[in-house]
Amino acid sequence: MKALRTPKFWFAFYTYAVMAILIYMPIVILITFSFNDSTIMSLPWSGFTTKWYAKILARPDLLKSLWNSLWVALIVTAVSLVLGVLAANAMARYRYKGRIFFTGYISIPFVMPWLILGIALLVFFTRVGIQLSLFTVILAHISFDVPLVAVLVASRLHQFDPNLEAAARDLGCGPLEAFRLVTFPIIAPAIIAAGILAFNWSFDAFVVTHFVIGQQVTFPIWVWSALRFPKNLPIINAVSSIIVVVEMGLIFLAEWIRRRGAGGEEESILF
Amino acid sequence: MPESTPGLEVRNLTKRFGNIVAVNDVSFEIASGEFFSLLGPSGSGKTTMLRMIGGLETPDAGDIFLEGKKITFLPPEKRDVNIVFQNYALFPHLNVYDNVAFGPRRRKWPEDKIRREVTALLEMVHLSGYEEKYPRQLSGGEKQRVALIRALILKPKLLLLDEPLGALDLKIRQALQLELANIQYEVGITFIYVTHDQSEALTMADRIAVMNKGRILQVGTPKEIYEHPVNRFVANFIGNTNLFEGVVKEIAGQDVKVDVPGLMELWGIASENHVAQLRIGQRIAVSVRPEKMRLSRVKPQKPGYNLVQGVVDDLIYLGVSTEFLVRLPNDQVVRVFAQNISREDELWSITWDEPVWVYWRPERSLVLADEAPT
Ligand SMILES: Nc1ncnc2c1ncn2[C@@H]1O[C@H](COP(=O)(O)OP(=O)(O)OP(=O)(O)O)[C@@H](O)[C@H]1O
Ligand SMILES: [Mg+2]
Repeated sequence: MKALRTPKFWFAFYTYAVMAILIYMPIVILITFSFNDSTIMSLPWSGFTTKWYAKILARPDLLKSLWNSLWVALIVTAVSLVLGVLAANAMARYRYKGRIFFTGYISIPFVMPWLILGIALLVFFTRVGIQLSLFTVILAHISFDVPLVAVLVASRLHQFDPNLEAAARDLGCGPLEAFRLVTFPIIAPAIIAAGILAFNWSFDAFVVTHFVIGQQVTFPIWVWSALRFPKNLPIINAVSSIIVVVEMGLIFLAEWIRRRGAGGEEESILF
Repeated sequence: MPESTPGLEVRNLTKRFGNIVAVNDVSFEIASGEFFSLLGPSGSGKTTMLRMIGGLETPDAGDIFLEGKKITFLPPEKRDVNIVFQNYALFPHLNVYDNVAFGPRRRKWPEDKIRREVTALLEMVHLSGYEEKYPRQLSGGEKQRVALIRALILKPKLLLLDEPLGALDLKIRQALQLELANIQYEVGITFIYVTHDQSEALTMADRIAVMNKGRILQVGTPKEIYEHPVNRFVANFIGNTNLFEGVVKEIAGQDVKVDVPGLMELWGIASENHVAQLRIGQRIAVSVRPEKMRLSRVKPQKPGYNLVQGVVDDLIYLGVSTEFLVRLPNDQVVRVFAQNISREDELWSITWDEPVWVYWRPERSLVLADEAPT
């Protein structure tokens, strides 16, 4: 391995190390202090405790916000998957006029600042006269989750050889059976992965949600308001730790499924 | 069914994509059990032709009959026809066994019959033990064989193969050519074999249809096509040839005297169909295959032969033969193949820049039409 220790290697090594520290250190600190027996998040260490985790259950406002976030994210994910897969199909298989506008829409969540998107949606909802509520939150989240799903599924469909469907027909399938037995299994991993990521985007959304939620509360909004009272800090640490672990698990799962589905031919974008 | 019913009949088939006429008013018949090859350059409409026969494309005009039954608009799953695709199209999410068993399962064969048949076919193509592998773990040649038996297992009346060996390197291709020809002989299924490689078509096919720009120019046995190409395109596309451009001087039966300006007057023959359409003074081309021409240092005493003198421009030693490139007085270079028979041969010592005589029998020169005579 000595040959690898070139300046290039060390450059890559340090870049990676710095990135890892930047990304993982806050998470490690967060989780560590969620077990610290003190309301102040600083050293010295005052003893190990799990009481903050127990206290989560004693906060109905927190539980309510988690519950809201959960079902909002589930609805958003379901709707976005349906619309996103249809959009991906259109993008990957057909050429038509107005494609450019479509491509523009699809790229919105990747290039437009969340703040601008949030303000735009707020203006839109108030102009049209829709009462701000969890319903507007759902609409807002769908608006950026559909492009996410569409991009992920379209990239898979792009590599899909239309002759595979033709071969299925040739070997005795009707059109629907050909889709069920060949097309769907091949793009399913991309759809599942897209669903998991869409769920995370919705569950985590703060900026856009903040503009369009009115008097309701989702989890990120609850954290935002709870932060004003320092005594809440340990509980926030505890619940955030749980969520970080669950979401990272989901993302690794999504990437694992996506890679397995690609038959190992596709490079991972995450690891 | 009467004996005379062809295995497949294609009648006036036409397919357009926008302004492109991919297949243009094509008709032909194939006998049951025949190994038929569609040969043509890229974009000549071969794949489109196959896809229409397989039911993956709907013709704009014309009809297709399989053993006398009209199948023009039957969906692919209802046709007794299977395809081996140009890029194999193996299902990436299924292993070799499930790929091959895909067709039988749609037909609800019992699982033990499927197992027997799949095992036997895998053995036939030397892939026993590959059942659990996935397509991505196979080499090109292995994928090709899986694609072949996946289509063969249903015992279709007609198997369509779209350049099945096109993506493989020469060695494997030659081995598989033999294997394919043997398999076709064993299973007795009619094959339509698409290729743009003329040597592949010549070695494998019972009959060849030469396509260009959506039309079939000539149908015939490899020998007929090679020895009697109907037009300039076919003569050039199948094997090598020397073309002389000239004007018709005299017509005597099928013998035609042609004046090649600045070079010579030569005698050739035209096909029966063609000769009726020939006129004195018409511009035509004459084709002479390189192996039909002979070389000599001294002027040969061969009355009635076509004869012209030139200079050796280049020579290429090929082991069994030598290829001479001879520059003629009109600056045209002709190719002449000579067998390397013995060291005493007078040709053995011929070298660069030497003047030589090129001569050939009149019946070796074919008068060609630009279009196929009707
Ligand atoms: N789906 C399609 N849409 C538009 N044009 C098409 C389509 N399929 C084929 N064509 C056109 O029809 C013509 C014939 O194509 P085809 O694929 O049949 O050629 P081919 O002889 O199989 O060529 P190759 O040897 O390259 O496979 C080409 O000009 C091609 O561009
Ligand atoms: Mg083709």
